[in-house]
Amino acid sequence: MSRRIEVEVAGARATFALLEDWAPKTTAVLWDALPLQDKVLRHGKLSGDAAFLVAEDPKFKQLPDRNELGVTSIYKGYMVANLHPEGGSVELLISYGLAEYRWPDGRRYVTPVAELEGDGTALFAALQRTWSEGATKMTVRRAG
Amino acid sequence: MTAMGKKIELSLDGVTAVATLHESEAPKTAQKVWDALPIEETLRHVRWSGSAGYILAHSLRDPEFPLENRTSFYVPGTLNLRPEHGEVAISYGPAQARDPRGNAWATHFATLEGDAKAFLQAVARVQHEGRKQLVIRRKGG
Repeated sequence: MSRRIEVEVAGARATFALLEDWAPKTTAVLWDALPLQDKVLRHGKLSGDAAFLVAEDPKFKQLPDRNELGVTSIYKGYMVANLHPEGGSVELLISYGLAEYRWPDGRRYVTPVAELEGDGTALFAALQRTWSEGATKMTVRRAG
Repeated sequence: MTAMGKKIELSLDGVTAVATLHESEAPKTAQKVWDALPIEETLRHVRWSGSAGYILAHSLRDPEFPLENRTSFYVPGTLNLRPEHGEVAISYGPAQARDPRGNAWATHFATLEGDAKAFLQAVARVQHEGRKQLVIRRKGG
C-alpha cells in the first residue's frame, strides 16, 4: 500500500499516491519533509501545462544526487521532482495537461514522485488558473 | 507617414514603451502589423517559450503568411510574430519560439527603443500576477 499525500491549491484538494517503487529514496525524503505549507505556486514558463513550487528544507539535503527513474514527460496528474540536494531544496511540478520538463537549453530529466488518485478536475482547474490569474499557494501534506 | 521609421507604442499595466518596426528586414509583417493597429488584447505569460509574454491577435493570424527576418530565439526587448497563430511574443529574458513539439520559428518584426526596463518588468510580472491588457497603437498616429 503506497503512502498517500494530499495536495491543496486555492481550496481544491486531491490525493496522490507516492511512487515508492519508482523513486524510493526521493519519496521517503519528501514524506519526511511534509507538510509543505502555503508554498508559492507559479505556472511554468517552459514546460507546458504545469505549475511548480520550490521548497527549501535541510531534509532535502538527503535527496539522491541523481534522478531515480528519470523522465522528461510529465503526464497529466503526475507530480515530478527536480532534485537539489546540494542546496537543500526541491522543485515540484504537477501537470494538468500536456507537459514536458524543459529549461532554456532543452529537455531536462526529473524524478516522478506521485500519481493522482481519483477525480482531479478541481485541482487541474486551480493549476490552470495560475496561468491566467498568477501565482497562488499550494500545500502538500500527508493524507489520512 | 514615410515608408521607413514607423514606430508603435505599447501600453501595459500603466507603463508605455516605443518600438521601431523593422520595415527593411520584415516589410510584409511590419505592414500587416501597422494596418492592424490599434490592437488591444490580453497578454498572458508563455507556457513553453521561456521569459516572454504573448498576445493572440486574430487580425494577425494567417497560416499562409510568410516568415521574414526569421528567428527562433527571442532577444529580450524584441517583438516576434508567429503568423500561424497570430501570436506576438515580447521577450524580457531568455526565450524561444517553442510549442509542445519542440522548437519553432517566428518573424522578428520590431524592437523596443531606449530604456524599456519598466515595460519589460511589467511583462515579466504577468507570470506572478496574471494576465494584463496590452494596447499597441501607432506612435504619433
